[in-house]
Amino acid sequence: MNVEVQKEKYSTLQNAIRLLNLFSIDQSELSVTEIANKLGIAKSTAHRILISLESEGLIMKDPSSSLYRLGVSFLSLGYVITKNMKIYTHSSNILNFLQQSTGETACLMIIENDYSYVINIKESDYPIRYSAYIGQKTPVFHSSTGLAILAFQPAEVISSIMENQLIQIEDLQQKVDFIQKNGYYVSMDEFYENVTSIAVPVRNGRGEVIAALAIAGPSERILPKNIPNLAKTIIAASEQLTKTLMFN
Amino acid sequence: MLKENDSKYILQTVKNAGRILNLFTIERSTWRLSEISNELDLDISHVRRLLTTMVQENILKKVGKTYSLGFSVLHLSGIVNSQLNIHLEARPILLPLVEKLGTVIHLGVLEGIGIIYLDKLETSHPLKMVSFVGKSHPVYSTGCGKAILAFQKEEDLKDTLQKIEQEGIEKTASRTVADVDELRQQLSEIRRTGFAVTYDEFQEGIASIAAPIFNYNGEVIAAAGLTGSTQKLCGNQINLYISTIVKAAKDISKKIGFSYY
Repeated sequence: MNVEVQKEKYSTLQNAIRLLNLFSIDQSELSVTEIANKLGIAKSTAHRILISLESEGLIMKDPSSSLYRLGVSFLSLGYVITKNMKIYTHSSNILNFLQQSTGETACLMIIENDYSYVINIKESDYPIRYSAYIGQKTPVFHSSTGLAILAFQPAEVISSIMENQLIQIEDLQQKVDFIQKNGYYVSMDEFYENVTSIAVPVRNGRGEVIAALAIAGPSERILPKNIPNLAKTIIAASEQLTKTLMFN
Repeated sequence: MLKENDSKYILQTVKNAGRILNLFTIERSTWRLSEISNELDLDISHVRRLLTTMVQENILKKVGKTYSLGFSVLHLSGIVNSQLNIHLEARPILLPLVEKLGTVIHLGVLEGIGIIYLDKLETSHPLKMVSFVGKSHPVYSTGCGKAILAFQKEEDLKDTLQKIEQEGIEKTASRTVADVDELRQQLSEIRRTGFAVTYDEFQEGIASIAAPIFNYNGEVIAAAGLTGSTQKLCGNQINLYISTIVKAAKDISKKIGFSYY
């Protein structure tokens, strides 16, 4: 392929968005050079995108280190999203209850465009616990909650996501069957070593699966013999959440 | 902070996309194409192109003809939130003061020439003050804003004051500062005393008493401020309020690595 064609692949705005997406929890600060290299653009272009984003508060420059990070404006934008989600407001009590009764981290996830996102979370009080943050995203097939939601979506949605993510899951049908039959999904050391999670779909008032509730923690605490009972607790919490959504 | 000569390198496409993003607020969380174009005074076909890309990239979500913020934004806000530990460090210090003093406490940071509240702690009393975490308030008429400005490095302060001058001061209450010169005088007094008292400046009848928070570099990074009615805060207990918030701000600064000697 011609190099010039490759360069033309992204518009300036797309590059600006790709730039924002370079930041992560593990890499919260980047230099202009790192940014230019990662995006495959000239350093001068990277600099111009950065000052343009900075002018709107979306990027901040640390004056002492000259490293860039995401701007505080995102905090207020994130707040706009959660504040406007009915399910966010109504899930806090239910997550507190789940965390109290199981001792483990409880979270609420939704899926959108191939990813599952943490919408609300109550972390366990144990010093060793499953930890995540609101807004954290995971490819749909890489989380028990993603699968729990997916199992109730039309077959074409599932296959289109698989196509987008270029993956084949051999036992997907078995997983889907299990979730549909039992109403929950268990992952034991499947996505992360030594992490077990149990996920249950959440329905809205019209019976559509719109989210999933889950607990997650170290596999030595969430033992196989306790899983059916834990699943029952989460299913009851999920039904409670549906009721709350219907009456509000 | 942007330097003046940077502005000619600004890419309008990117800046306009940022302006679109910042239209979405608690008060107004959905927008239509024509509304965005009107509000920002931008050509409708230009806005349409920007919106298409922003939707493709999950920055915005389109339902019917309405746009709202997409989940990529929530993801980015999660990253910012988890790297900003200041409010986690500040909370345990400020929380006990809320009940003790019976006032609202804000933790604010400077963003441009606005103050954004990272945290708002309030009493269980049913009468609450309306202010939003994440919303921008003018730096020149809030206690947190002045407490931060007063301790900015001279070159940064100059920059901020210049921007305030350019955008103009909005008089929202009877005692809002008249101009940048008056603000400068107040700031040097705050720098001398170590705390800021404002009343009837942002909102009539509302006062705040704030003190700066410093990081390990000795740079001012935030401020903690009590907010309440002017009558309550500026009454006979004012000295207690001042000493309490000043001490709390110092404790937070120490906790995040600043050393006082």
